[in-house]
Amino acid sequence: MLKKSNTRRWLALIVALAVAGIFAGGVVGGLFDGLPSEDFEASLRDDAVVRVADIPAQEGLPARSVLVQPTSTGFLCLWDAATSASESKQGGCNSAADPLGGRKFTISLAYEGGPATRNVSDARLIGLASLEVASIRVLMTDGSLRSIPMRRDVAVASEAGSFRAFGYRFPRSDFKRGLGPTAVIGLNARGTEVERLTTGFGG
Amino acid sequence: MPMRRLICAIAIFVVTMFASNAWAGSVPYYSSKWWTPGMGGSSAFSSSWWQSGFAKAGGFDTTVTFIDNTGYNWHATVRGWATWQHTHWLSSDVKKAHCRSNVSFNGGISSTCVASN
Repeated sequence: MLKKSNTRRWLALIVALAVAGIFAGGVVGGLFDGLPSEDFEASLRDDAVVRVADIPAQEGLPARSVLVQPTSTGFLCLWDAATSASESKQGGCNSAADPLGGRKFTISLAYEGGPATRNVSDARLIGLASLEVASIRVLMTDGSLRSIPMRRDVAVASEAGSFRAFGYRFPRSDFKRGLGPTAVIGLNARGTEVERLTTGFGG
Repeated sequence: MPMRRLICAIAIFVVTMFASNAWAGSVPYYSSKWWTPGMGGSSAFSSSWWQSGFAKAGGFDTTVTFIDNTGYNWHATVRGWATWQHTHWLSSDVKKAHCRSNVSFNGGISSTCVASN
């Protein structure tokens, strides 16, 4: 009789602890502010994307697309993906009212491998620039500069205006030699630097 | 015997607490209102993570990636300034999601790193 009572008490304790744990899990989750809403996550999943630039196939690596996604939740997202239909996208979103986040241009650098430069096997740069930016250059860790072609596409427009898009894949040999992109520089039509964003390679 | 029961009770509580978070699909693993260069965190190791995201209070320079549990190599890394940033690594390898700031930033409200399974 005593044993049965102990078992019941023990079972009741397990159930109580499990319920308390579920409740505490919700409290812990709630401690994190600024989480993406379900609506936002659904818009990333369901809203249409538009291909605005291409990253050609290179050195055995497949071609990729630069995609823009205006969302129903008020964001403009910029993605690097295998295709427009790909569920696997790399990049990010800003408010549609300020897609460049207050800058002249914005970039997203995606790469496989690392963190050591020589271990990087595929690195791609994508970006959006205001029409004030006439050209984009990449400063490499050896001091050389590379010009990145930009494309103006009517699809790259939001309530904040229209933009140029770009996508570039760094040759694999760069990283094997320990060479990486140290900064991305935006120049105006007169060739004056208007914005510089560092990439973390080369300090 | 009471000590064994206490340990068991604590284990049930902790496991349920974390499991109830993980069931949600998106699991926040690091959050802060202020950031300094190199500051960040990682999720637990799991083979089921497929998305690493960063919901930011402002457009500051950050990195999201996955780190495997064999060579601690980085995979599907994305560095950028967007207020929402994410990457996908569709691999069955055991990995942890990792995020870090590359600059100092104080947004007044929290910026949070999230892993999805």
